[in-house]
Amino acid sequence: MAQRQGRTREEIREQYGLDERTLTDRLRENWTGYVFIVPTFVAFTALFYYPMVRGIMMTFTDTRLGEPGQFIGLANYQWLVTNDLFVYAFGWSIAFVAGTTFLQLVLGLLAALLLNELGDAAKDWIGALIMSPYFAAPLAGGVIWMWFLDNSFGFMSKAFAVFGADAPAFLSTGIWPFLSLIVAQTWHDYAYSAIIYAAAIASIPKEQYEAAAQSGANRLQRFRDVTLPRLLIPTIVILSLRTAWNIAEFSQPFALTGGGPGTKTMLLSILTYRVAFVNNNFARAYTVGMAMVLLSMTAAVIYVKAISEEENLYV
Amino acid sequence: MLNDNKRSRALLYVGIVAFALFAVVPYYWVIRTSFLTNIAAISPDTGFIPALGKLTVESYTQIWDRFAFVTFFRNSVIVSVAATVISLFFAIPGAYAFARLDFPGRKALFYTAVFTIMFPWIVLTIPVYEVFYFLDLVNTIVGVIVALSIFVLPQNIWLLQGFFRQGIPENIEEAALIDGHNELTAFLRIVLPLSWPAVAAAALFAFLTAWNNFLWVFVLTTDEEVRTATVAIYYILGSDVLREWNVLMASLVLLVAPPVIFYGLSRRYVGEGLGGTPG
Repeated sequence: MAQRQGRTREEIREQYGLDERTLTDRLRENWTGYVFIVPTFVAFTALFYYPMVRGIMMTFTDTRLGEPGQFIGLANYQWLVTNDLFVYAFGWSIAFVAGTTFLQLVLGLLAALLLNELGDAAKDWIGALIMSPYFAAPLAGGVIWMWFLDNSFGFMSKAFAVFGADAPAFLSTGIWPFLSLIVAQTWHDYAYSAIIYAAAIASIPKEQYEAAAQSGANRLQRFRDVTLPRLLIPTIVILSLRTAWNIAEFSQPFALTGGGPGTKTMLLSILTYRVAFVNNNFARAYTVGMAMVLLSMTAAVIYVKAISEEENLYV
Repeated sequence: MLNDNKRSRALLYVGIVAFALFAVVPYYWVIRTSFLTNIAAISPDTGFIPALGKLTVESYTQIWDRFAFVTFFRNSVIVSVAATVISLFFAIPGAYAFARLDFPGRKALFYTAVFTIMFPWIVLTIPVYEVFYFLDLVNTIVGVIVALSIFVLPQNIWLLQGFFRQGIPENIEEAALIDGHNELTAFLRIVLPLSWPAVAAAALFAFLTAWNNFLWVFVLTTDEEVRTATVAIYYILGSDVLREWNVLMASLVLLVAPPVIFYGLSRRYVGEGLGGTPG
């Protein structure tokens, strides 16, 4: 910027490091920033910050819908850790999140690598096809899979019949409902990691591959030495975001099994919903939710660390 | 890419076909059912690919007189459009402030915005429901619109701030400032007109996210008059009265088609930008 005439004594001293700008100086200089951010801040306060704080305070009371509730200390947390269903749901949620996140990551990477080998036009259309589940409503995903796996009229039972076998009850018996939920959730969201990976792969300069090939690296070595190092940050980003979103996932499992049969496939998100809006016990529901918050916030901390590494690329 | 041979090509196509089948076959089963009569849909004699003569669009015409789907889809459109407009009104200046302006507290605010993206929404519905209950917004279309606007806001900020950061060169604003604009008018007269493609893309995704949303509408409404199509399908599924699978699947096709088709068409233009779409 051109040197301005008539600078004040303070500005000159500051330029040579003799003075530091104080907070009030920065406030005065940057007031437009606040004009821009105020609407967002108001919205966030009304529907994020206040409810979050209100919810945490709620866990120390016996609040129900429409009743303010009394302070009862840690009783809700005590109820929580001694509640068998919660402990069960907590364990199954972790298994569900680990399974779906892992599968989404692997399938997404595979999809991105395969798509990268196609020509541009084919990449566009086949990419849109392969990514399409991600854009269906999660609730619709649940209904689609429920129909797909239906015992009497579904595709799977028909396919089993072709081989003369009886299809297992995918949504009720044995280990099947767990597998069905994980596979259905993977189907809906693997495209997310495919999209992020595809962007990362596309940003690798072609020359690096050519150089590696010239020095005699085969396909596998090129992947290991050129592609893989570039995928580290995207992997952390995908892992943490998908972990948080898989924990939060409600609609699709709710439509597919709804936690059933009975409470067999009860996830924390469905349990939170049930306690809050079926039993109307808001305080306890938020206490259940605190377990989810704890899990997703761990993921969020990792995510923030990862994006501050390479802020401009993925933010 | 380099030194291709036939075997790796074949492997590539096998992989692509496997992915395409995994993605599409569940959809196909829904579409197949939606084009059959109710009897044919559950008959074991109907093949994987039904005979051409068995196909009918009967279920698509039945949707409209069987349920209040006109109301449901109208509600879906109303709340999605309103949520898009409101959230953009908040998100455009917010995203610009995050991307370009420097003010004390920017980082802290930005990272709390990141946390909100990753916060489990189902937990947040509880205190928000309480607030809406006291404000008498439960079971109203206004309440749904407010909730959805806030729900799509972090995603909008995310998309737009990425664009402002990378898509608009900084010297454009510097030139505007030298020309005598202040930051506010530089933004309104120079930056905003340059940003309409990004704003359009953000609007599209905001619309689709609101359209797809189930949780908020489900929690905040019980009456049929304010129900959106997504929630309506859940209720129809749960009611024992209906076992007309073809009609249900036809309505599911109508629900799923707009987002999937919009995305397929706009993919080329917006591609990787949608990093922050909460599932």
